[in-house]
Amino acid sequence: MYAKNMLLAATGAAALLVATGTQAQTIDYGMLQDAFGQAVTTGATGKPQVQSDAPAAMHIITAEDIKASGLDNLPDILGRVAGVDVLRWGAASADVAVRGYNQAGNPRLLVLVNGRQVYADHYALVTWSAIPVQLSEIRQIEVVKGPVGAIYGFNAVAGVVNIITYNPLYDTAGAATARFGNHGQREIGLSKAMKLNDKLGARFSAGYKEADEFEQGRLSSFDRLSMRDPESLSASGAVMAQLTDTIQGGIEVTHSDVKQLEMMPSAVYTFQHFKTTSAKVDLTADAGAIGLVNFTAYRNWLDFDYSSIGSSNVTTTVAQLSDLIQFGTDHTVKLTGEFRHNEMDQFLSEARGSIGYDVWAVSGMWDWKVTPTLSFTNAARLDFFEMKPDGIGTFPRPASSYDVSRTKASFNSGLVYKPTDVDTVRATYGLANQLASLVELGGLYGTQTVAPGVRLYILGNPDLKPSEITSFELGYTRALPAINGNAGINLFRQKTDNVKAFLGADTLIINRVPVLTVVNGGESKSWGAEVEVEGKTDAGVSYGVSYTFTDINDNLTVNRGAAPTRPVLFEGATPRHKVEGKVGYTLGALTAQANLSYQSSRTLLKAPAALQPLTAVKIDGYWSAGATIGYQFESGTEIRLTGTDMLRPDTLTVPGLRTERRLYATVSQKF
Amino acid sequence: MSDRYFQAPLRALAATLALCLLAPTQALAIDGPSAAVAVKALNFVQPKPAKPIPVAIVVDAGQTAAGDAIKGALGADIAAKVVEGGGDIAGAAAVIVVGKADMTAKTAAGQLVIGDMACMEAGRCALSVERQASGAAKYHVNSAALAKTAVAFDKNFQMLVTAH
Repeated sequence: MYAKNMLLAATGAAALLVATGTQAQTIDYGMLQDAFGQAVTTGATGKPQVQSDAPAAMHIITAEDIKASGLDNLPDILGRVAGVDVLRWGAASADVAVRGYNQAGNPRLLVLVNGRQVYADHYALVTWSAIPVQLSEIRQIEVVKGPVGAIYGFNAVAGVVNIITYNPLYDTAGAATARFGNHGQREIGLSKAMKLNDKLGARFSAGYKEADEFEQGRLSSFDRLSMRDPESLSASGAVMAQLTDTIQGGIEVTHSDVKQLEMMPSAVYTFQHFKTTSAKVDLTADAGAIGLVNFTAYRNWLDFDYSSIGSSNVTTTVAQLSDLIQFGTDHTVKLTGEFRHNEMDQFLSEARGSIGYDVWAVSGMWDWKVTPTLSFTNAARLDFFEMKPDGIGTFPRPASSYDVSRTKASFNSGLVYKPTDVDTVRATYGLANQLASLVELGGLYGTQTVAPGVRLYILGNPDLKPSEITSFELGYTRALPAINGNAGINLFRQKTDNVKAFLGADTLIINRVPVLTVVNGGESKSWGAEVEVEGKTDAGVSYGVSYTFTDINDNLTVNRGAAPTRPVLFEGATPRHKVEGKVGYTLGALTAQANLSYQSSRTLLKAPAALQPLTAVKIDGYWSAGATIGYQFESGTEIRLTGTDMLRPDTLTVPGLRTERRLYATVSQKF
Repeated sequence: MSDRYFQAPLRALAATLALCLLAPTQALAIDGPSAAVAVKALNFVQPKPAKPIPVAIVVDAGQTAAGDAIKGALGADIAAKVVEGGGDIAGAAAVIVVGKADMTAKTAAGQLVIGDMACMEAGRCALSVERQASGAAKYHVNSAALAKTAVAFDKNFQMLVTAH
């Protein structure tokens, strides 16, 4: 209902605003990249910018990069980016983090597909295999490092991964893919973006994959109960249209169905079944002097079933109205209003009712070109949050304690200085808020009998304060024409206040009743560096190396006893050193790439069963290697062989299943 | 924000700001490769011209060879002709000024005038391209000259150019 009203209002507004004589344009990434000689992005500010102008540390993975890697999944592709950390829990399950703080069900990273969040609000996590996108339909993946809350709102605290697919109004691209390999890997996929005529384009994709779950590892008997092989199915379809000379519109629907082993935030394995559905509508209007007006509304539906916990569903509805307008030659402003509503049925043994929240937000971004070589960007956002409990179980907390409203502000500021046409210096500041998940706020409600007549209540915490992440960063990038490449360094310092400490074995007393609940657990500080250089020769050789340093210091108010009682530990949980190297070679239709990486030791927490004391497990540092070779026939057929984690049959990378060596073949046909 | 933890980064940020000195824009004469990049701007003119896009290359008297060199560098999407200063440019979506000709009084509404940096800065041309050592391109637009010819760009492109 909210979305419908917003849609009607925006359509009316757009119709009133539009000017005549121009064509509304969504961004034609391909044509702009061709014109400017570098990738174009809106990921840092919401305004189109060439990558080197963006006031944020940003890495853009292109369609060519994805293809050259030979990789078959998003976490592994992202894991090769400096500053990105991957925890691979199983053949299909992984968590991805930017600049440390990775954990099971990592809640700090916002992931979007064409601007729609695929981050699931129940646990505030991303199930990567449930993202309904085929690799062959991705134009680029923008990885924004550092908090960008003033642009994206709650939860864009460690960074944002923005996946952008081909736009059928501008791009014609299609591929059918079949992949098979060891450990029972089988996959088929299809994607196509095509113009139907000058004013209409369509895109669709579908895919299915399955594999055997990893087999080796130190799993508890509780974990073993959840061991089953993963499989996933996804489909999406979109239509884009030039509705009038001044308005473009688009409709997109997606669906995915995923079954896989998953590591839960409580540090135990469970077998999950995820069914996601989404529907989205976009309208972009060139309103002449009023600017570029965009309205986007979408709804995400999620049905989830965790074998060891329970099942429920979540709906998330988002409507955004924005205006991007240029003043004179030096000023660009973006004003955005956003409404978000989500709702989840409470789950666990005593569950009843539903919980959700509304967020109204306003934000503004101002980009000022101070001089031809210096730009200064500032953005601020205010989020007004109001919880919407509806008949949920709350005892022993009073029901009134769930009537919570909050107002939070986020800020981003960035200076970009380009003293020469090859040098870029960047200084940025960010303050973002990480909202508690629906589960943490009150989505769980159950009891355990701990002694005759004594029941332990498991419930959320409506008083949980959003974590507040502050970041300062300095960056320097230099284009290196002599090697057809570039080099760069980022230095950052980050602080997280009000760390969230998920449920564990830590019992609290509320109104004289023992409970297990989520609490704020202190603060954590980090600093780090990312250094990278890449180049290529005229002889077809490309190369690159990156180094990531991350140092985290926790000052927690939980886990102070001999054994950790909550699954929260950041200090030592991120490898201090990570090195990624690659060498590629192209000879006519033949392409090959070899990768070598190293990451130092880390310590992660693991519970033998839900709500039990945890153990700190040290994972030794390790090297890993991968390689891929492909041949492209003139017919558009490509045959490719890829190997990952090739140095040993299996490698301990997490306190759970060992990552297995994989070898697979891919046959794809362009159409 | 009074946290001492952030004092060092704040000092660094202030130092960076203090170091931000104005650097002059490098002027480059238009040549074939620059013209080939410059005409890509025609893909963002509103409404979009039909392809192949007619382009007139205006050269000074006796400099036809220079015009031919530029014509040879333009892609198949461009239908170019070389004319001397007083030649016919009617029907062209864009005019590339190679020499010192002032086309201000001769261009019609909707014709994008492309030239070198000096031409753009003087307001005789609406658009100029700076090819950077990194391989990237920077589009410079003289807003007054652009407004005079009533050429409108797609707003996304407009936000990416350097306006003068």
